[in-house]
Amino acid sequence: MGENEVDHALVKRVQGGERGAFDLLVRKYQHKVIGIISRYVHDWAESQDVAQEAFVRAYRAIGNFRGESAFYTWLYKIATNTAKNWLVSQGRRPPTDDVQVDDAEHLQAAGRLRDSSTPEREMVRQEIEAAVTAAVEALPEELKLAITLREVDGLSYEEIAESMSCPIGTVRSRIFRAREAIDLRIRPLLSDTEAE
Amino acid sequence: MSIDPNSIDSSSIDFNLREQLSALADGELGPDQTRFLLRRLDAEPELAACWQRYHLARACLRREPALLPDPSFAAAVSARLVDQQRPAASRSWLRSAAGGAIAAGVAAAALFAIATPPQDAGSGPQLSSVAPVRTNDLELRQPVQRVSDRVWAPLPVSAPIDPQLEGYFLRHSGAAASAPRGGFVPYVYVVATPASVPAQIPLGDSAASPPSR
Amino acid sequence: MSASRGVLFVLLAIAGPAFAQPAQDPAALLERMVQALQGLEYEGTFVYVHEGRVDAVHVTRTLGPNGPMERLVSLSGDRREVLREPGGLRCLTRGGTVVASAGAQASTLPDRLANMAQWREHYRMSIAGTDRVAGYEATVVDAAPLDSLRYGYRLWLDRATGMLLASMVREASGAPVEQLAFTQLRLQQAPDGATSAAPAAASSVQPTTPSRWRAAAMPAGFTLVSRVQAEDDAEHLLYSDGLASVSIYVEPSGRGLLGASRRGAVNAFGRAAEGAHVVVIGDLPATTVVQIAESVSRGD
Repeated sequence: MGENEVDHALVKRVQGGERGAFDLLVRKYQHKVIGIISRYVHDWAESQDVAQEAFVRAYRAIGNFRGESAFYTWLYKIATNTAKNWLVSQGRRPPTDDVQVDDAEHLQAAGRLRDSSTPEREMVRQEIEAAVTAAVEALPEELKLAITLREVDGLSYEEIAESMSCPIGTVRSRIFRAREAIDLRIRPLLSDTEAE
Repeated sequence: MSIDPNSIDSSSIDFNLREQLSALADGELGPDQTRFLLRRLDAEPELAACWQRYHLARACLRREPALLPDPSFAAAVSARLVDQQRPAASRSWLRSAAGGAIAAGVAAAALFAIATPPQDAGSGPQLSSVAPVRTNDLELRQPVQRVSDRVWAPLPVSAPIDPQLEGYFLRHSGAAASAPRGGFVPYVYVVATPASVPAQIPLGDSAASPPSR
Repeated sequence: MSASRGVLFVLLAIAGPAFAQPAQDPAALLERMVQALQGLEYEGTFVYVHEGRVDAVHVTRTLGPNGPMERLVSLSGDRREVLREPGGLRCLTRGGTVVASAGAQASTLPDRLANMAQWREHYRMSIAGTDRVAGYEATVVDAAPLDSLRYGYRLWLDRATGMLLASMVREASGAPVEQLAFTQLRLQQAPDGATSAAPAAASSVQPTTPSRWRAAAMPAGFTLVSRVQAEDDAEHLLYSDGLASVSIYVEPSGRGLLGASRRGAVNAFGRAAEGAHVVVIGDLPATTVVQIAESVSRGD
C-alpha cells in the first residue's frame, strides 16, 4: 500500500460517514494546502481562513472522488479554485498562469511563501527542521536506514525488509522507533503552540 | 505482521496505538486494525496530534517546504464541518426499484393469518390451515380466528437511529454472509425497518409488544 | 414464550401432501443453496415478515471481476438501503444519509462448510415436500433443532438451481420468528470473468496465540470458525454450527451495546466484562445469546 492507497482508504471511510478519517486527511495535508493558498493570499490570518474553506469544500465534494487520481491532486485543484474564488471575491484578479503541482512546490521552495509567515513562526519552523535532522543523525544505523528508505526513497515495508534482510515486522518496529525518537525532539517545540 | 516483542513496552496502550498510527501513515496497517484505530481517535485527541507531527517530520525529511499552520487549524476545520451533512458516497450502481413493486409484491403473495399455536414444547411446527386472505393493497382483513389488536405494527416514523447498534448488525451480517442462511439474507434485518425502537427488550417477557409511541 | 404474541402472518404453507423425493439429501440441497446464493446473479422483490411487521425489500446481486455487489432497498417503512461493494465495504443509508458502514470482513465463514456431519447431531433434517414460490418449483427442506437453544429452519429451494426462494425461522417450539419469501425473482448465471469471491482482506492480523476469551455457554456443535484480533486487544470471534452463526465482539471497555436488541431472528446482547466490553450477536434465541454473553470470560 502506498500513500495513495492510504488516502483512498481514508476517503472511503469519509464517504462512509467517518469524520475522524477526514480529520486525518486535514492534518496530513494542511501544510501543503496552506502553502498553495499562500501563493494567492499573502495575509497569514486570511490564508488560514481560505485554507479551512478549501478543506470544507473538499469535504462537501468528497462524494465525487472516485479514486481515479491521487487524492492530493484532487485536493490541490480544490485548493487553487478556492483561492482564486477568494481573490475574485476581493475584487482582485487571480494569476493567469495555472502552475502544475510540482512547479508550485518549487516556487514555494524559492522562499516566496515565507513572506506570509510571521517571523516567530518562521523561527519555529527552522528549529523543527533542525531538530528533525539532528534526531535522524543521532539514530542507530538500522533505524536511520529504515526511516530514510521509507520517507526519502518511498519504499514499502516489504521492499525495505528485502533491502535490509530482516522481517517486515522488524521494519515496522524500526520505523516506529525512529519516528518516536524524532517526535521526542520536536514535541516540545510545538507544545506551546499546540493548544489542544 | 508480527512485531519484535522485545522492543515494545506493551504496558502503555498509548504506545501501541501510536505504533499502529505509524504503520497507518505508511499505508501498512490492515483494514480491521485501521477501523479499530480510527474509532479510538475520537477518544484520544493526542493520537491526531501525533499523526500531524509524523507528517510534519515527513515533510522535513523530504525537504518539502512546510509552512507551519496554526495549531488549531484542524480543529477549526472540524468545527466548520459540524453543520455539514455527511457526504454521500459516490454510487455508479443500479437504479432503485420502482415504488410500485411493493403493491405488486404484496398483492402477489398469498397471505395467511393464523393465531399463534398453543405452546407445545417439542411438537414441531404447527401450521393450521386457514383459508388464504388475498389482498390487492396493503390493508389486511381481520382473520376469523383469535386476533390481537396489533395486526400491523406501527411504523416508528421518527424513531432515532443508533449508528453504533446498526454497526454491530452490519458487521455481523458480513461475517455471516457465507453461511447457509447467508448471501443477502443477513442484510435483510439491517435494511428492514425495526419493529421497535432499538432499546432494552426485557428478557423475561419476550412477548412484549414494541413500546408504544 | 410467545403465547400472546398475537397474529402472525405466514406466507406459505405446504401446498400439498408431503412426499419424500427419492435420493434427495437435505444436507446436499443446503450445500447447493449456498452455491446458488454465492454464485448466481439475481434481482427480485421479497416480503419479510418479522415482529408484527410485513416489509418488502428489493435485492440485486451482481458479480464482477472484483467480487460480488449487493444492494438491498426497503420498499416499506424506513427508507433504508444496504450496499455491499466488491471490495467488501458495506454501508447502511437511511433517507440517503450514511448511518453506518463496515469495512471488508476479514473473518468470514468458509464457502463450503466442512462439518456437515455436524448438522445432523444438532438438527433433524428432512425433505418436507414441494411448493411453488414466485413461479419457481421448490423443494422444501426442514431442519428441526434437537435442543431448545437454537432455531429451526424451513427453506424453500429452487429445484433447478437450489436458490433460496423462501425461508422460515422458528423457535424450537415451532412458533415462527421470521419469514421471507420472494414474490418476484430473476436469476441468471454469472458472466464470464466474474467471481463470487470477495478479495481477501489485506493484512488482517492472524493471531499467533489462542484467544484468552472463552464462552463457556456456547451451545454444543458451535465451533470457532475464525478469529480476528486487533492490537488493542479487540477481538471478533465467529462461531457456527453449520446453520446458525454467532459473533462475539470483545472490545476495549467504553461505549458499546448494553442489554438486548433484536432484529427478526437475530439477537444481540452486550455487557461489560472483566474490563472489556462484550457483544454477542447471532441467529439464536435471545435467552441463548444472553447465556453465551454472560459466560464470556478471560480463560487465564
